[in-house]
Order: sequence, then structure tokens, then C-alpha cells
Amino acid sequence: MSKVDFFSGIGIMVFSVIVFILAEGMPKAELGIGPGDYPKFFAAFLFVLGLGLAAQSYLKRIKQNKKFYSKDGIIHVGGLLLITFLYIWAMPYIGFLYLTPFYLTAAMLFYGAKKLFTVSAVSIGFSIAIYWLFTSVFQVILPRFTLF
Amino acid sequence: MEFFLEGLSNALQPMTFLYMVLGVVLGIIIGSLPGMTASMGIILLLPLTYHLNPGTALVMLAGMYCGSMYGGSISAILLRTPGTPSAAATVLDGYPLAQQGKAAKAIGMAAISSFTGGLLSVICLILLAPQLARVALSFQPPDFFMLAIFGLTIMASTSGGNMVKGLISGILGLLIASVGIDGVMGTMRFTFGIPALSGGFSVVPVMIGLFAVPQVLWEIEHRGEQGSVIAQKLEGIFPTLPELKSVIPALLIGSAIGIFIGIVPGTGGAIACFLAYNEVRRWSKNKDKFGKGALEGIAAAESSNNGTTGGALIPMLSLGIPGDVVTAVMLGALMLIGVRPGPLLFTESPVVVYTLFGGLLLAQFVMLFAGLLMAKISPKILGIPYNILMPLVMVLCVVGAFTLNNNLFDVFVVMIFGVIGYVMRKHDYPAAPMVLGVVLGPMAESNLNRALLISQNDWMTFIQSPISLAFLILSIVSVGLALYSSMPKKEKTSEAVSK
Repeated sequence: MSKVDFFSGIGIMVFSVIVFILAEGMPKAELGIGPGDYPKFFAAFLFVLGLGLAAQSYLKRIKQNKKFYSKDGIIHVGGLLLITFLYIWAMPYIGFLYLTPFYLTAAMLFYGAKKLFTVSAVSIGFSIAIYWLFTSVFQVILPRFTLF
Repeated sequence: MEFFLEGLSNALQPMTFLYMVLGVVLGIIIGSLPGMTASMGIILLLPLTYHLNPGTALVMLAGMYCGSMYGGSISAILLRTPGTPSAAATVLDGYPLAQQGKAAKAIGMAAISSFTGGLLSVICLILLAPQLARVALSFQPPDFFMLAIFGLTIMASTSGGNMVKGLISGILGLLIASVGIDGVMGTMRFTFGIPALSGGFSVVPVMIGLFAVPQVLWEIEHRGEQGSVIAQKLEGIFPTLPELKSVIPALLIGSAIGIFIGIVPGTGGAIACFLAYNEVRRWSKNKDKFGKGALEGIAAAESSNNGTTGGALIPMLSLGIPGDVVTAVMLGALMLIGVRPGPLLFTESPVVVYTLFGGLLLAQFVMLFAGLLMAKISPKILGIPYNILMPLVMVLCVVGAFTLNNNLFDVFVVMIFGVIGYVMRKHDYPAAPMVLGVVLGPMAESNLNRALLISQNDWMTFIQSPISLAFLILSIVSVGLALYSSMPKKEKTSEAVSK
């Protein structure tokens, strides 16, 4: 348990209150449960659990020695997420087959792969293989180039 | 008996056998690809069935069904990405075992367990189909609701070391499942004006996001800290005799639970695998090993998910009521090829039915053989350096999510839940309870509503049905046992000393 858990507990309590308030505004049902009753019940349960987590952390009062996030870690994870989101966003315009080799090459280099030739070959080969498997064998249409 | 022998000999005809092998092998491949489900596999094979006789077509589809249920375990074990929702529980012990260099053993165990569960379910199908079909008919909404509640009590035992965090994860899963249009009054819940959210979140993108993507992010965060390749021991695919003896109870319990859950309409392998995992863990002498690479955990999960195959076919064939999503698709396939499931099927088309039974029986052996072959070959994937493998996994996740509905929204869902899963993992919140909440939430809410509507808001309806009452008692016992086993050992020791 740590300080982070204490604040997580508080955050969960706040979240559950927000959910409860949002659900309160939903229509009520005369028979059965209304659309808001189910989420309200679980929001209340979540509030209690959040309180329990915060209380548990506060009572134990363990000094937080563990560092959850390092600067390098944030840069690497954030960088990968950024290029992945860009990849997904650009896919409907550039298409799976053209875009994926670039994404894979960038991601592998970001992961620390050094041999550019191997990385490029794997990226292109894998992209073609997956495209063929899904479009020809599984008959699933993957995004195609539609920029023009 | 003569019908069965005739069916078996039909299934052994060269072309029928070949199509069955094709179904099994394709099923394993499709099952191992995240986002590709068994029902999609059956839909893909449908055009082939137009040119085949009904018996051969059924056998091929059944092979696809069995193969895909097993196939999901391969990516679950190697990449921490369940290929199908039914393999979600296999991740819990399969992946840690692969990280110990025993991926071949884990996949081999999965193959043997799938074979056992599938074989036992086919035997039940052959011998007891009409009798067991009555069980399917006896389930009413209160019973379904209590079954879901019983399933939700598993959250406590899939929480790992911290029950509070596990329950928080599970409740968040239940809330996530409530996003979208409410099933009774049609109210938009928590959609915030986003049209794509009106359908809510599908299980598969949430599952891929919570299991696979955090692993990819974890690896890039820790790149360079550990060796990029985990050496795999390729010998030892078969469990040793002591190991086999130790997993027999898990195989039998898992298979029984899988068959039972398969019979109940609207459930399926995803529920069965967690239920079986929980029960086997509860009664195991090696509880502490679960979650760290216990063969019993893999045995329970895999025997139960393949146990649902025969179980789900029982109400589908006998009553025309599908046991799960896959059999719902198969029902459509049967109609297309001119076979009408229902009470008269066994009398009107006995040859077709028993050809299916014979084919299913043979499919288990083909699946076992193919599975053990995969156990030799597929761990080589872990020999690929992580800086090459992880981006490939990410692309598979993206493609898998996209293929569900041909919609990039599902891909964004995968990434968002991937970030959530990564943060959860950093702070020791387990992902399995959240997946459980997303799977069981809709079933619990819709049946609660139906039960109350039918009973005119009389809550006593949940204890008036013997099935519902039995599940309620089981749920209370399950929660009690989970609370007892989570008590700190010091308190137990001090109690013993004071006595």
C-alpha cells in the first residue's frame, strides 16, 4: 500500500459520485430496474471500495519508496502510444498495406532494434502477409488508400 | 448404436475427414489470432458448405468450432493475448509458465485439456442430448441472474493478492458494460453524445486492450532491463506422470462445468473458463501456485472452454436453441444447408446427426495431434527478439480489433483500454475481474430486469426457484470462502496460539 493508493482511493470515490449523479438523472421505471438503478448500485459499491482502499493506505502509512514512473519509461511509452495513435488515425487515408511497414519500422527502431535491413524486411513481409491473410483468406476488408 | 457406427464411418470417408481436418486446422489458426472469433470462422467457411453434403458440411463446421476454442490458448500463453474470450482465464497461468521458459509444456497441457473437455462433452452429447436439453429449458431469468452473480463472485479469487483492488477492477468492468443503450427503456447511458458508444463496448476489444497492449507498453518501458528473448525448453510437451495425476481433478471439474455452462443458453466459454478456474483453485491443494504458472489453472480453463462445445450443441440440436454465439451462427448455417434442428431432428435426419457426432469425436483427436504439433512449433515465436515481436503484436491487436466490425472505433477502444490496463498493471490492479465484469454485466442486468418484470417487482422470485436459490447459496459460500482465504495469516496464527 502506498500514498498512490490513498489518492487512488480518493479518485475512485470522486469517480463513483460523478457516476451516481449522472445515473440519477436517468428515467425511473415502475416495474423492474430503471436504466440508472444498476449503475447507481455499483457506483455506491465502488464508493465504499474506494473509501476502503484510501483508509487501508492511510492506516498502514507505508513510506512510498517505489517509483512508479521513470522519465525514460514515460518517454518510451508515450512515444509508442503517439506513433500508434497516429498510425490508427492515418490508416483510413493511407491504407493498411502502405502505412503498416512504416509504423512497424518506426516502432521497432523505437524499441531499440538496430539492424535497419532486418527491421525493414520484417516490417514489409509481415504487412504483406497479414494483408493477404485477412483480405484473401478471411475475406475481411482492411483499410485501403483513399487520399485522392 | 447402428446409427452411430454409420455416422462414424461417414465421418471417416476421405473427403469428409479431409474437410474436418481443414476445419480444425483453420479453427486453430483463427482462434489464435486476437479478434478473430469462432463465429467469424464459421461464417468464413459457410460458402464452402454450399457445395458439400450436409453431413460433411456439419463436420467441417464442428471441426472449426473445436479448433478455435483451443486455438485461443496459443496466443494467450505466448503473447498474453487471449485469441478468443474463452481463453481469457488461460492467460492467468499460461503466460507466467511461458515466461518461465515452459511455453511448450503450457501449450501441450492446453491441447490435452481441450481434448479431454471436448471428448467428454461429445460423449455427453451422444448419450444424453435429449435429457440434458431439458436442463436448458428449465432455466428462467432469475436463474440466469443468479448464475451471473455466482460468476461475479469469482472476482474475488481472480484478484491476485489484493481483493479490494480486484473488486474495484470488477465493479469498473460492470460499469463499463452499462455504457450504451439500456436494454429495457432504450435510454442512452454514459454515451456523452458519441454515436459510436450507443452500442457499448464489445468484449473482444476490451479484452485485447486490457491483456495485450499493457504487455507491449510494459516491454518498451523496460527495454534493455531484461534479456530480449526467453529461452524456451522445447522438450517436456507432455506432462510427467505426477503432473498428469495432479491435473486429473482439474480436468474433470473443468469439463463438467464447461458441459453444464454450454448447455445453458446465452452463456458460453468465457463464463465457463473463469468459473472452472475459480472452482479448481478453490479445491486445489496448491492454491498459492495459481497465477504463477500452475498446470491445474491451464487444465481447468481449457477443459472447460472445450467442454462447452458439446454442451452448447445439445440445446441447439435438440431444441433449436443456441447455447452460445457460435452455435447461434451454426444454427443459421444448418438452416442454409437444409437441416432443421429441433426435437424431430434425431428422427428425420439421424444419419446427418450421427455423422456430426462421429466427426466431432474424430475432431478431438485431430485437434490433440495438431495441438501437440503446435506445442513444438509455436514457442519458437518467443525466440523472436522483443523489439521485433512487440510491434508485430501491436499490429495484430489493431487488425484483430478492426476485423470485428470493420470499424476503427474498436481499434481506439483497444488503445484506450490498453492505456487503462497499463496504468492498472503499474498499480497492481488485476485485469481479469474487469473482463469478467464486462462479460457478465449485461447478462446480470438483463435477466434481473426480466425477472422483476415477470414477477411484478417481487424480489422473492430469486429464492422461489430451486436453481436460483442454489446459485444464491453457492454465491454466498463462494464469497465467504474468498474472504476467509484472504485473511492475513498472522491473524490465523495468533488465533491458533491463543487456543
